[in-house]
Amino acid sequence: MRCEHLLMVALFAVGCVTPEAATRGVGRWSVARSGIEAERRAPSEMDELHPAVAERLREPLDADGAVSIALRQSPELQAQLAKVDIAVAELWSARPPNPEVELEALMNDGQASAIEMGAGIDIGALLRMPLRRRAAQAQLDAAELSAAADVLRYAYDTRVAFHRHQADLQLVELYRTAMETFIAAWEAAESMAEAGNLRQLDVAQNRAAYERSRVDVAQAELKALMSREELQVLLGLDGRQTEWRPIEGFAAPEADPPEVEALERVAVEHSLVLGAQEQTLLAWSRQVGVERMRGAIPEAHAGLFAEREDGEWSFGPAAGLAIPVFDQNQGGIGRTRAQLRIAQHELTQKAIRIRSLARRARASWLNAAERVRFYDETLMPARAAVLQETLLQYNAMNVGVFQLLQARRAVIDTARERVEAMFDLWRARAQVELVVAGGEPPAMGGPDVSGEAMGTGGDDGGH
Amino acid sequence: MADIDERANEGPKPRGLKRRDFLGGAAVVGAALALERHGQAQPTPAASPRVRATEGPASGDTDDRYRPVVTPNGSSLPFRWVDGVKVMHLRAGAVSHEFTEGLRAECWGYNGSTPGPTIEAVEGDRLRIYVTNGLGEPTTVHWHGILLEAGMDGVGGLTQRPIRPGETFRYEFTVREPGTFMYHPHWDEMTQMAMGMMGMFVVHPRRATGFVPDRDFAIILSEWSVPIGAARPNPLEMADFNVLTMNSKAFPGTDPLVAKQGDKVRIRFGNLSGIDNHPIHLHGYSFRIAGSDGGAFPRSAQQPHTTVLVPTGSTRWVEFEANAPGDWAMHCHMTHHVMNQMGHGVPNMVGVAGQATFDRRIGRLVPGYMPMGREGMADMGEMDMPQPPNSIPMRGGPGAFGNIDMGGMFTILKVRESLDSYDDPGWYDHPDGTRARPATAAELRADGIEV
Repeated sequence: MRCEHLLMVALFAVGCVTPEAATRGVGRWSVARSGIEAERRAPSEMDELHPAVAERLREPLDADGAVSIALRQSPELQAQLAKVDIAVAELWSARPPNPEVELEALMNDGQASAIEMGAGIDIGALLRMPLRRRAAQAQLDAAELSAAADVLRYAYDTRVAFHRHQADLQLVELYRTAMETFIAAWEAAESMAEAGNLRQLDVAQNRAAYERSRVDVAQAELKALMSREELQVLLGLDGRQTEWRPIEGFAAPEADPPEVEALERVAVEHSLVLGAQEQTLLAWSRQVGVERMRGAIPEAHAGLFAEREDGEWSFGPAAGLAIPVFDQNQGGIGRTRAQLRIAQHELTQKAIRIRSLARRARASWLNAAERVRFYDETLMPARAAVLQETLLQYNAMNVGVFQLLQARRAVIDTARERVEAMFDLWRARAQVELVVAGGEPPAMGGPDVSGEAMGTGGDDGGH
Repeated sequence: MADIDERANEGPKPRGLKRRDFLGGAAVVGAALALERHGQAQPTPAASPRVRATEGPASGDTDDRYRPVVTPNGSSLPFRWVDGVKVMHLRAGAVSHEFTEGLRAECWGYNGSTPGPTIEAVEGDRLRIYVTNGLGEPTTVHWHGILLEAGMDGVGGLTQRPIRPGETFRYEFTVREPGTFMYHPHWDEMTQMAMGMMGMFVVHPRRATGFVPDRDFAIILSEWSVPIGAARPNPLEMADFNVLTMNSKAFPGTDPLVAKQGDKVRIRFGNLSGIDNHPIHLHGYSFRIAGSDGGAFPRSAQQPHTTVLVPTGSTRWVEFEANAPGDWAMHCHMTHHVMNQMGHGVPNMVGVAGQATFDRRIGRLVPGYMPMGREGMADMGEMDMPQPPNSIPMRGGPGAFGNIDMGGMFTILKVRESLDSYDDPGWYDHPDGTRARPATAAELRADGIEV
């Protein structure tokens, strides 16, 4: 009876960690660090628009709106959140072992002449269960933190994709304006040729330039379409909800990034990735205890034995114990300790990387902001001045319409470069915000180093 | 002419320095010579002209043996008699020069002007000409067409070492032949002449015989490259010149040549353009080409012309009697030489529809754009469009009947029946029935003209 009672207590304890509870945990993380909140939704609910999403889609979309939609409507994000359930399941596996029952009977002329019954339980597993459960709890905490980091990263990806689409739309307009200059040049060449002033070669060259510009426009339009679709996927909107439109304009943010020392400190303090890694470290540390106990008590069984012979039942206790003379589970302990050391090194490495990513994000912000400022205050005015001076030279009949249009194209080219600088600025700003919230941005110019989900394994050496 | 003040015959009044300035210059000469004599170090050449020769010509002695030439927009070089030698002083240096209103450039010249003052002497005179180099680089002066000792010919490296910045050289020679000559550098002359360093050199005959002019004009022709909106001539340009000048002035900046009916007129042309010859055409007159820098042509060899071709590196002078009153154009007949700062690399828009589709499109792309040159280019000078600063593209000048759509090597000979002075008399008042006017319908009908 005592064992039965303990089992019920254990079952209750495991049942307290439900997937829903874990999801709420993810949501709270996000709120605390970033002001955004992911919402777990059942697959069956995803077919319909979330009411808040439907509301958002009625107005032109901004970056915050896009993030808000993605966190409610994206199946991809929901799938990422559901990974926490796997860790929760690990907690369920850290339960008492099932009892074993044996029945043997000797038959004689269709009658059981002798019956033997035995019932027992793995005392060793039962003894290791609290340790396993503590390890699994740390593993669950790591999974929750990773999921929170995934939410932040998903929000970042969505925000960056939104700005990319904004930039692409602006580029389309600029390429179309550039195409207008080529059309004008071609038309001018044709008019001059009709007047007898220009060769057909000049007309052909201007036409070729115009036709080439159409390709540029088509490519820009395709890029804008692709970035829209990429954003569409991140938002989790299907073909029924593709009529949304982004807000117009692409103004520069006014804020400046935090100082580098403060940023590094906050990045490390808030890092969900580091938090997850610490929990992984803790899980491996506890797993070492499990393995040690397995070495001390490799096998231990206890139970009851009953025998019926000549119509009489007799009862008695049964027990078995493996003596760890030759095998104290050194292999299991060694493997787990090695995993522990790996996790320790990874924690240090991740801290280094987080600091570096924070510095890189800040540097990117400053650099992009400076470039945007340079374009706005120096280069664009310089190009505009060239155009204005070219117009004066045109008025002076010192240059023709072709050079005038060329100067106009130079303004457009510079405006395109400015759009890219502006996108870099918004992306860098999103990176800094992500770092401050505890997420991990991609390393610019290098492989994507973020979003490494913690592995989840079973009881015995699954890490 | 007795009825005109003799002073008016001497051209524009001297501007700027007085006699003491000339003497001050002589003091500088002495100091420079002293340095050279003692073999001391010369002043360090500067990167740009060290002496800003903005002073006007100094006054000096007078010479009543000849009627001085008139150098439109210019002056004659002052002199002093010293022991029977005519002493003069040329100072090479930077000049802020206005080609015409609206175009000023940093040029080089002599004694504060480009061209430098006209040197005048009389056949047989002994001349001593001091040359002070106020440029940032060496220079020399070559007396173009003057027959003299080889060592005075002013060819850097050949007949003398160049005059270093800050130095003063002394040239001394006797002018043996009368005629029309020039002076110019013969050291880095591509640069220095393109920057404006040149002048006329007139030697009057000791005994005037035959044609004795009442009005004797000296005009030096030159060509410049001043990019539209820039403010310094480009000496590197070899062919595409855009400012063509008479005495370094482009019309409408050229002073008119004024004569009284009956005056004997001589016009001396020199040409120190980079590469171009200039056929100078005078309206309303037939003249004789009377000589070149090689000397006077025999009277029997002189032919009537209305256009005189003045080759570069050469002079010509023409003579005629001012017997036809009026305002008469005189200009280079190379059509691009009577345009101001016209670009030559622009596409030809003549004949293109006035408001074509591309015009509207460009108008949207470039606010302020205006179609131009569709029916011709004469109206360009009158279109009210923003222009580059310090430029005179396609600009002409005001005339009696509206805009004179010419520029560059264009000036006006103004001949009047009577004059109180040789100042600009204004526009000619044409006698009734002597001026072209719109035809009336009745006249057309009467003469059977259908339009």
